[in-house]
Amino acid sequence: MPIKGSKYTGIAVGGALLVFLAVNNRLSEHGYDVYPAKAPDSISELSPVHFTESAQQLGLVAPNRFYYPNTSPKAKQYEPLLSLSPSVSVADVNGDGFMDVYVTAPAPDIPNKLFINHGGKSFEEVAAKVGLDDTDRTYKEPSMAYWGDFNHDGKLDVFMARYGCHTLHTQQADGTFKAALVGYCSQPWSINVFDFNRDGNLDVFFGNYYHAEDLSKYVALEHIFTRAGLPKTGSANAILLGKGDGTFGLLDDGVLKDYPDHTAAVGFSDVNMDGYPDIAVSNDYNPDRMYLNQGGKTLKEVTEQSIPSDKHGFNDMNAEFVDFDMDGLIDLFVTGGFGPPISVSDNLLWKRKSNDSTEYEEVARKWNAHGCGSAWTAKFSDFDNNGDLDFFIINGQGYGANVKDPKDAKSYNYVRNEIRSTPGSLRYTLDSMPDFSNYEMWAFQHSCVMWQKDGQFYDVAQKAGVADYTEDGRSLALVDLNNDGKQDVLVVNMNAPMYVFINDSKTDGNWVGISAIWEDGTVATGARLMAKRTDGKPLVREVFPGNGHHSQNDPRIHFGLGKAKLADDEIAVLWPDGTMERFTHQPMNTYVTLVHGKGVK
Amino acid sequence: MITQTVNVLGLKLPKIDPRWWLIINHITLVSLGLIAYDMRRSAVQVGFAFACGILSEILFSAVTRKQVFFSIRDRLMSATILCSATIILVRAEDWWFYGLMAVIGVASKYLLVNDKGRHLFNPTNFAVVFAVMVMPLYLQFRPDTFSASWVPMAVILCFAGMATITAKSWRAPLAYMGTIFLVGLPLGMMLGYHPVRVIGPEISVTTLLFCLAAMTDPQTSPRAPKQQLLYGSLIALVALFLRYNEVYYHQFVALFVVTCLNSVLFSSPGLPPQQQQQIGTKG
Repeated sequence: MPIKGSKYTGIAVGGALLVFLAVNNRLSEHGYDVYPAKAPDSISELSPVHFTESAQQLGLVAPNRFYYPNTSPKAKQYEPLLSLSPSVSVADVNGDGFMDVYVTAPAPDIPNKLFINHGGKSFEEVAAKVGLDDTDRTYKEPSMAYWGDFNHDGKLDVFMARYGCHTLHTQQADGTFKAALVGYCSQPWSINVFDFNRDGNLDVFFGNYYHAEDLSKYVALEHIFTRAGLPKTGSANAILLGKGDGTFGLLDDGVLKDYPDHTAAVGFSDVNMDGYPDIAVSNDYNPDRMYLNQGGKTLKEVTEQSIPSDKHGFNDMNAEFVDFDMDGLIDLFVTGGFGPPISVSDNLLWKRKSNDSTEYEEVARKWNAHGCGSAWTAKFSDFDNNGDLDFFIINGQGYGANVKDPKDAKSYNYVRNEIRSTPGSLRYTLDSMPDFSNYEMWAFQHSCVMWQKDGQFYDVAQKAGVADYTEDGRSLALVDLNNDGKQDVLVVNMNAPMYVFINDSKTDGNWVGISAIWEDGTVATGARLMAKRTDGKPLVREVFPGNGHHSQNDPRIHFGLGKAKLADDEIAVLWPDGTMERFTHQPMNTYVTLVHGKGVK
Repeated sequence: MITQTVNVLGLKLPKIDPRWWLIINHITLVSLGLIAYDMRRSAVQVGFAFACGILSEILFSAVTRKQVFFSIRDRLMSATILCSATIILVRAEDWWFYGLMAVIGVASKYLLVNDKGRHLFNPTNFAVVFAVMVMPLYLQFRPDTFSASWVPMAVILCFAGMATITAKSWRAPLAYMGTIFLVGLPLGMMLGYHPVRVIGPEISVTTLLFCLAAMTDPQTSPRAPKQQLLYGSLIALVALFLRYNEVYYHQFVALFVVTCLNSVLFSSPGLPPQQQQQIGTKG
C-alpha cells in the first residue's frame, strides 16, 4: 500500500527535528554539552582516580601570560591564538631522589622558574640563583627546555630551544649554569632528545614551526586562515648531533628538508627494533610524518606505510609512544582539535599491527579515545595502579579580549571554515577578517582524565577533581613528585599559572618505578624496559622523557601492576648500546635504579 | 534516441534527462577529488555507500510501492546521484557513514511524503541535514581542498548548470544568488562583515552544488516561474539568517526549513504526475 502523507507532513518533520535539537541541547551555541568521551555515572563511580590541585600549597607557583613578539595592533588582537607556549621539564637536578621542576615562560617580564623539590613536601624556587631565570633574551624567547648530560661531566645541563638561536646551559661545579650558543637557530615549537646515531652522545631533534627568522616582524596567521599544505609558512625539521663535549653539528639530511612542516610534537621509539630510535612528528596544518632511522646516518620517510595520512587531522599535536593495550607492541597517540558541535579532527590512536611490520591501525573511536576538546598534550600512565594505562589530556581555548565567557561568544572556527571554502583569488586578507577580539576559537572542554575500563577509555575528569580547572592549557609533564608511586601531573597554561595535580587516588594496586641509568648516573635515554606480569600481560616502555608535546617527563618508568606482580621478579633492559641485561629479584611498590653493566643501585 | 534540443546561450544542445547531467557532474567531481584534490574518501566508504543506496532504493520501492512505474534504471540513477552527492558534500571518517547517509536519504524519499504521495525533501539535502543536526560528531567539518578550487566549480557550472537549464529550474538559483548579493551583501556590511566574507563562501563548490543540484530538484521545488523566484529568495533569506548565527551547512538547513513549509507556501511543488510518469517510462 503506497504511503500517503498530509499537507502538513513537512511541518511535522521540521517540528520533530526542532524538538530533537532542543531536547539534546543543540540549539545553544557550539553544543558544549555534546561530549562523547564523558563517562556514564556507573563507570565514573568505579574509578578511584583523583587529583588535588596543590600549586600554592607546595610553592610551585609558575605564572604565565599571553605573549607574542610582534606587538602590532593586528598581532595583539590575535594574541590568544598566536602566543608562544610555556613548557615544563622534570629532572632530578640535585640528585636527591626527588624530581625538580623547570618551567619556561616566553614573556620577557616573566622569568623561568626552577623549583627544587624538598622531599615532595615543599619546593624552593632557585632559577635566578643558579642562572636559569633566562631574563636576558638576547637569543630570543625560550620555546622548551630539556634536561640531559650533554657534555658527559655527570651533571645535568639544560638545552634551551628558543624562537631564535638555541643555547646550552651547562651545569658548573658550584651548581650554577653557564650558557653558550649551540650554533643553530630556528623556530621550534617542540624539541626532543635522543641518541640518533648511538654514539653515546645526546642529540636534539628540532620540531620547527615557523619559517620566519624573526617573529617580531611576523604575524603568523596565514596558516590559520588558509588551507593545509602551504609549505611557505612552515619550516623543515632538523637534527643537531651532540659531540659529547657540549658542542653540536647539524645532520645534513635531505629527507627532513623535503618537509617544511609546522611541527608541534616529536616522539621517539625504536619502531623496527634495529636498535636505532625512529621518529614520529605531529604537525599542525601538514600531515604527520613517520621516519625510520637508517643506521644513525639518515632517515627514511614511511608515513604512508605506517600511519596513512588520510587519517591525519588538521591540527595534530602530541606524539606519545605507549603500549596502551599492553599487547607488547608500542603504539602511538596523536591529539587533534576536536571541537563540538562538529568534529574538526579526532585524536588518533595508532595501534601497532604486529611486531613484524611498521604498520599501525587507527583505533581511536574503537577505544573511545578520539574526542576531548581542542587537545594539546596527552600522556599515558596508570594513575590508579590498577594495571591498565589511562591518559591525561590537556585542552586549550582561545578567545578575544572582549569576550567575557567563551561559551557565549561567536566561533572563529566557523569563520575559518568559511574562509577555507572561499575561492583562491578571493582569499581573505587579515583586513577582511572579523575582529578576533569578539570571537572564541577551539570550542573548549576541560582537560580529560581518560580512565581505561574493559577496552574503552572514559573521561572521569569530574570525579577526579580536574574538571573545574579550565584555563587555556598547553603541555603537561608526568612526575611522581612525592615518590608515593602515583604519578602526578603538571600542566602549564597560556595565560595563568601552572596547575599541579597531586595524585591522591585511593588505591592499593602494586607498582614499580624504574630508573635506567648509565654508569655515570645519567639517564639512559632510549633504553627499552621489558617485563611480564604474573597474569601474563607484557610490560614494555622506552625511556624517552620528551615524548608527548613540549615537555619533559619524570625519566623514571612507572608500571602499574594492579593485583599482579612482576613475573619472576624480573625486569629486562635493552640498553641503547644494544646490550641486554636481566635484573632479577626486583622489589615492588618502590623505585629501583638499574645501572648499565653494574646491576641494581 | 535524442530528438529534442535545449537552447543554451543561443546554442541548440541535445536535451537529455537532467539526471544524466547530474550523474556526469557528481562522478566527475568525485573522480577529480580523489585523483587530484586529496579528497579523503576510501574505496570502502564509496563502495558501501553505493551498495546501500542501490539496495535501499530497491527495498523501499518494493515495500512502499511508491512510483511503481519507475524503472530499475531510474532507481539506479537516483541512488547514484544521492550517494555521489553526499560523498562530495560531507566529510566523515567512519567507513559506514556514507552508507547510512544513503539509506537515510532514500528512506526520506519513500517515507516522508505529502498528501499527493510525493516526497517532501531532496534526498541528498535531507541526508546532509540529518548528518549535521543528528550526528554532527561523526562529521569532519573541514572543507575538502577542492572546495575552494576553480576547476570543480567550472565542472559544476557546466554539468549541473546544464541539468538546471534542462529541468527549467534555473530561476531558483538565480533568485538565491540575487538575494545574497542584493540583500546579504548590504546586510552583512551593516553587521560589520567585509564584502569578501559575505560573498566568498557563497561561490564555493558546496554552494554551487547546493544551488544547481539540491535546491533545483524538480520533485521538491515549485515549478511555476514566479514561485521559483520566491522559493530561491526565501531559501537565501533563511540561509543568511542561519549563516549569521553560525549554523553549519546553512544553505542545506535553509532548504530543509523552506521545504518543510513547501506544501503551505507553494501551490504545487514537484513535477506533475504525467511528467513523473514520463520519466518513469523513459527507463
